[in-house]
Amino acid sequence: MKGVKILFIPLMGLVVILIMLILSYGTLGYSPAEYIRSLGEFLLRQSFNVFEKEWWVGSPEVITATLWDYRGLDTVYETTVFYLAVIGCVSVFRLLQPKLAEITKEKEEYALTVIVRVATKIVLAVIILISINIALHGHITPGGGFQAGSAFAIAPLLAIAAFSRYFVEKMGLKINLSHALRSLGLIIIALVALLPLFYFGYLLQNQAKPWSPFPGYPIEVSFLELSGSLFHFDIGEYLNVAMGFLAIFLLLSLPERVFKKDMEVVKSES
Amino acid sequence: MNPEHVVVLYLYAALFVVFGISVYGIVIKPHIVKKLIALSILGDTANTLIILLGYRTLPKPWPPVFPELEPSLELIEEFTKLSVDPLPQVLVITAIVINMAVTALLAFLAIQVYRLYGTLDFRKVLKLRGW
Repeated sequence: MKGVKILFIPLMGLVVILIMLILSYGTLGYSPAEYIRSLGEFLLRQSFNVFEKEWWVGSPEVITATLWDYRGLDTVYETTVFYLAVIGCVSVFRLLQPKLAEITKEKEEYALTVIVRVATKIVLAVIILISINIALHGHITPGGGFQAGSAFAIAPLLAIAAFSRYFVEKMGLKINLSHALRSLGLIIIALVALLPLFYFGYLLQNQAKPWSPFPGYPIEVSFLELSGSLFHFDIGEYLNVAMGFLAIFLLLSLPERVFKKDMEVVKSES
Repeated sequence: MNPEHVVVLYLYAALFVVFGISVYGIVIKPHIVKKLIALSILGDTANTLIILLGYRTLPKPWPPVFPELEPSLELIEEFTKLSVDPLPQVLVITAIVINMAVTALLAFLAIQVYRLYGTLDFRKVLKLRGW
């Protein structure tokens, strides 16, 4: 083991220096510079260019515009990666008797002080409201589905730490609900992406193009700025990410004795 | 050399040091949770590096969000000249969330390893497996 370690450290140093050299050779010369690459300039100029609508997205937030329009297919696949990662977590932590999970419905004997409980309740409401705000505003101000979902993920974590897993389930945030809403989010994204195909447009099309018969999603409905399909994508992504993290935290907070009981039953059967 | 360039050089140096430390943690540390921590540090270093590449060494660069909902032609030109590159930030947004999901998955696997073998030291796990 010692010899391996002595071999490893210079090897690792070599790898780090090589990667450093490659990165420095390719980037340090001109980046970050005063001028950005032409692709970045194209995105900045076209995404909210109201005078020349051939390439525009209709969103003043260039990042969300790039995320869901110019690079839309990439983001859809990354959403799928997230969905599958949560499925992996669930399959590792599955119980052979799902009824065992109800053991956690016990009385909270050791509650924290009133100050902690009241403050946590206030902060919880604020976190959830702000995350919804970030999600619905993602196409106008900095934010979007990914960010809002990550912001929401703090809420169940805080509630589990300050109260218990049972408190989160009593709030209505159960694991089956989280799976249902997560799938609903993915379905919303899929439907919004596929709808232009029925109008003989192309996949993930957002705005009207001269070469496509699809009229484009609406930019604004009366006083609401919708920025085409970005608003719908953000809602779907918010549901997917927020409920995915809720499922992860609910599973992680299952007490160890539940799994021990589950394993005992398996052993006695075999 | 402008002062902005010197700052950028220092940032590069700091990022490469952190990169080296995280690679050390992943390869040498025998504890699985420590490997996991080093892996998340590696991911964050990569994200910071990507965002640094998209920065503009102007005195006051703009964030890539339009300040007005009804822009004039001059504002669009000024925005293009002053705003930082949006593309690295787009790449990083998705990378952060995917990173979190992958870390959660690895944490689940680590818990499962502890449940099955009673230890998180991978050398002991290998011994218990009979390797």
